[in-house]
Amino acid sequence: MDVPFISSGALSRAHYALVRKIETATSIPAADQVLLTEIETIRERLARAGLTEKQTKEYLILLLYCSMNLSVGLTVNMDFALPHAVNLAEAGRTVQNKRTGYMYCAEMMPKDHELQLMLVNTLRKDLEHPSMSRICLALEVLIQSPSEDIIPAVQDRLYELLSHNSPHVRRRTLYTFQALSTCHRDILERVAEKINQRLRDQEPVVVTAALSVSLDLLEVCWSTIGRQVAWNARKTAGRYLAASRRPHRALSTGKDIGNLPDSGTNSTSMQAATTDHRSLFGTEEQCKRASDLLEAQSSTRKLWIDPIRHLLVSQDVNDVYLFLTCLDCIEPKLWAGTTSEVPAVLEGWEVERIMQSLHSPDSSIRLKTLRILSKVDVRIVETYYTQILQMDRTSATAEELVESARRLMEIIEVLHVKDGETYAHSLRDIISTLTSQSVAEKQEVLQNVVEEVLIKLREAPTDFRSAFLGVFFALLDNPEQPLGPTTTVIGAAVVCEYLDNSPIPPTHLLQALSTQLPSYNAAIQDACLLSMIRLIAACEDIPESAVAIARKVQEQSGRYIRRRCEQFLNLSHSRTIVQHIVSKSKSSSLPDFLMSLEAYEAEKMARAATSPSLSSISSPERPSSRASSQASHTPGKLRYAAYDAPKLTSSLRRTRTRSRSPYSDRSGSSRFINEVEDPMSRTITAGDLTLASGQIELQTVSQPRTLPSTPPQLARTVDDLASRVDLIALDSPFIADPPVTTTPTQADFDFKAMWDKLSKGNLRGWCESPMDAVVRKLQGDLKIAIYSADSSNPDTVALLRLKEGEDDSCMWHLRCDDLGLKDTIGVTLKDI
Amino acid sequence: MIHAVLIFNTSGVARLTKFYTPLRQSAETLVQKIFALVSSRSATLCNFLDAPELESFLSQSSDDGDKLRVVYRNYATLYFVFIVDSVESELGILDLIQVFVESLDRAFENVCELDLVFHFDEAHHILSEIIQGGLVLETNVEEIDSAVQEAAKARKESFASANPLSLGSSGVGGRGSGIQTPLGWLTTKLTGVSAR
Repeated sequence: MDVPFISSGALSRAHYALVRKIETATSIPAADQVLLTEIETIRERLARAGLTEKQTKEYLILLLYCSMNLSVGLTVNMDFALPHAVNLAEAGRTVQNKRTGYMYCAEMMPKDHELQLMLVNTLRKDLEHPSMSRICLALEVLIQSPSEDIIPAVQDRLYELLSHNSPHVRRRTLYTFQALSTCHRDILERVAEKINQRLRDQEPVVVTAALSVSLDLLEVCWSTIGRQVAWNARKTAGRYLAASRRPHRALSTGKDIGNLPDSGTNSTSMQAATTDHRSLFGTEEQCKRASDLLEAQSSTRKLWIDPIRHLLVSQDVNDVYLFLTCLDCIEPKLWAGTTSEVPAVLEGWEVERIMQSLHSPDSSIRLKTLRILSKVDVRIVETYYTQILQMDRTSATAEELVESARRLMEIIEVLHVKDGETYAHSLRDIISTLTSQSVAEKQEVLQNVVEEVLIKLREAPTDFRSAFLGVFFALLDNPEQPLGPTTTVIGAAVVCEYLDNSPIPPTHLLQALSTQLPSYNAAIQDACLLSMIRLIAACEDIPESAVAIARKVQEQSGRYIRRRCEQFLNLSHSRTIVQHIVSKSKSSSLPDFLMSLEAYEAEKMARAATSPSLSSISSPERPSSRASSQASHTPGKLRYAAYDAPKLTSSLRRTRTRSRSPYSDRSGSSRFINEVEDPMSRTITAGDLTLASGQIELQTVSQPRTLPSTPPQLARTVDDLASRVDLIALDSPFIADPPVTTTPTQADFDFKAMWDKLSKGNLRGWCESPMDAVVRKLQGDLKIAIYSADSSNPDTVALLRLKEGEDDSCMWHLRCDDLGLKDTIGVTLKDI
Repeated sequence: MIHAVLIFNTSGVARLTKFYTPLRQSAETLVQKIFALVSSRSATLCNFLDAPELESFLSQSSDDGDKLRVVYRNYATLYFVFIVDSVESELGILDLIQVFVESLDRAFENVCELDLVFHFDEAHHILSEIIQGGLVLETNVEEIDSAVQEAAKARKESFASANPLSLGSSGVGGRGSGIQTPLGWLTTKLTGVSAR
């Protein structure tokens, strides 16, 4: 960021300095640290007495900037500034200052916050102020955050403002009533007469607002005045159409109000459509009934397609989308020539063009085309489906297979939009065809298929879902037909998520999942085992065969699956415990169940670690839980108490596909470049289930997570979804360590006290490498505690502090009483 | 209804976020999700996309099967993204994005990413002239511009009356006209010629 302060437009030097620091920060944690420090500084400054309005305003803007730029998962309570914001909104001498106060309240104040009441009087005073800008400001705040509490205080004044001289005030007042009506439905009825007047307003901006409010009014008011408003609104909408003013708004109003569309309005719509193709959106919406459109068509003597015909051949893909959207809204008999009454309106080459859209790279366009064609004749889509399904894919690459799967899924989504049963059968056909045709992909999971199916099921209506699940559970329960990996993964996820809807007894499902368990790879086994554990909660008796298979798999598998099998075997006789785990799960999905299961395991291990009988087992080699984790490391490895949560950078995780922006290039603000998405911060998708397939590098997932250093009063919380352990955990069959409950130990570790204690064993130096390299080398950051595993004294520790230099280097400072360890680390650091 | 207006740059850094319906999850997560959706689309694809996975982020006021759609436009280093339901016309929203950008351009005189960084509060104000409570307030650039200028003038007067000896401030953003920052300039005037 090379812009100088003078031309930056910053509020102040402090504002400029903050933005500069953030934009040039080398990493997201570094930027977060700057923001957290800034928030703390502002908190302290706001606590001081004698703040000027200008300072308060600046601090509030800086806080808003900080809030917007904090990274995902890092939430800081900024309520401490709310009283200042309320005060600024109340006592601000300029509109700009007041606006800032209001803006902070709107963005940061929760809806039911107690300070909301403090704003009532301020808003009332602003509404009564002679200045138009203050009135508009107050109205905008009301539109943005309407509340029932404020209605008694302002409704009389709002009623007056409906007749204010300024159209800007009248318009905003109308929208304010509309917003307040979400809290109190009857408020509109009182102003129905005024709304009626505003429909005849001189100013178009007011009329469009009145049209919008009249729609809401009609939902609550069916009295005489309500009908009068409806009649006027329709008339106004028609008048606006004729004048081609704000056609979209007028048409959408006409569409909503005009449940009984008359041909006059429709022909007006057609006229508008001929002058502006965008109006056709409204026209086709309004003329839902074919007869209406035909009538309108004959009265205008123009074909409805004429205004949009050119869009089909446009080079702009948006125009093609628009054309298809219009076509999608019109009944096929009006254009496809499916009936003898209405001839086809499209030329042969135009139809061909539409068919070509099936091969568009844009999935939205493909889907629209499929919908249109299925409305014309479903057999066209069925033929297309068969054609795509039977394509030769013997030499298809994985990408081509995924693309084929995507296109086939789109087709069945259109073909079986309401029928879950046929959808499930088609899905099975697609999966079996794709996996059987390509030899290389037989053991691969089609991850996009799993993801799309699970998303679709979550959104689908209940009857669709029930029908789908009926077929799918039956598929699982069919021992004669072996399931492929993709179907098994979908089955495992579906069993876990929708077990309550299963028509098949859970024991059968457990049996079915266990039968094929040995034939799959570790990732799929993991998903199956998790589902099997989930099934324990619903099974009265666990089939012996399932237990036997789990034992067999346990013997043959690597550490990770061995552990999962052990979990299954241990829990197979503890139905109530599994029920407890299920009840603790945030949702019924497989990732949440895994999260809940791991939490239970961690809790169990923590209890075991603290019980005296168990702690005695760990000595002498494992005098404490902390030491036990040290002992497992080879002498060459260093232990650390890192600040940053260890980043899991498995090749399986999706890295954020970021292109370096020209802005960043020029400014050198590289903090967002080349970064890897924090795996804990991204939304879990069903596709994560299948990320496991084809994994080569296996990773450790149970490393203790440590939180970065933050000011003590600032809690780092991760939002609900982001906090969940995603299904990536499923893909690690050879987990290095079982979950180690060392986090509390590390959290309790008092670095400062230890640092002070070791003041005699100093060692300092200057690394030629950037700090990141040092951190990577030591797998830590900033303040690191290093334990030597081969030392006879388990308490031997070396503490290292790293301070980053400006030229990609860093200064290090080591304290350690053990000379050997000190030298070892010293040599390591000097060698970097 | 418009549920959200987001501006982020081509690296996914949010420059303006405005939500008209309550969020169920953190805004940052939503921005990242949409960034992942939008940035992976090539320039040859259309500017509209259905995003059923966003349903869990935004509280839908109506349960009548209204699907959320993302309408976006990319201008130089910035993505302008509107999340709307099916009541809104996609093309209308695409035009509205253009209106918003032109309004920003008029207010900031050759708007660039830095203007949004240093004056995101002002960008909020301009947005409030166009959208109120998720509804389109105004679509005419001239009227928006005059409203913004009037507001700026009113603020200036109000500032002058509060600070009698001051000279007032120039321009909407307080930045002197004609002073150009050396980076992040949109390569052309944002008239839609280069935009898509």
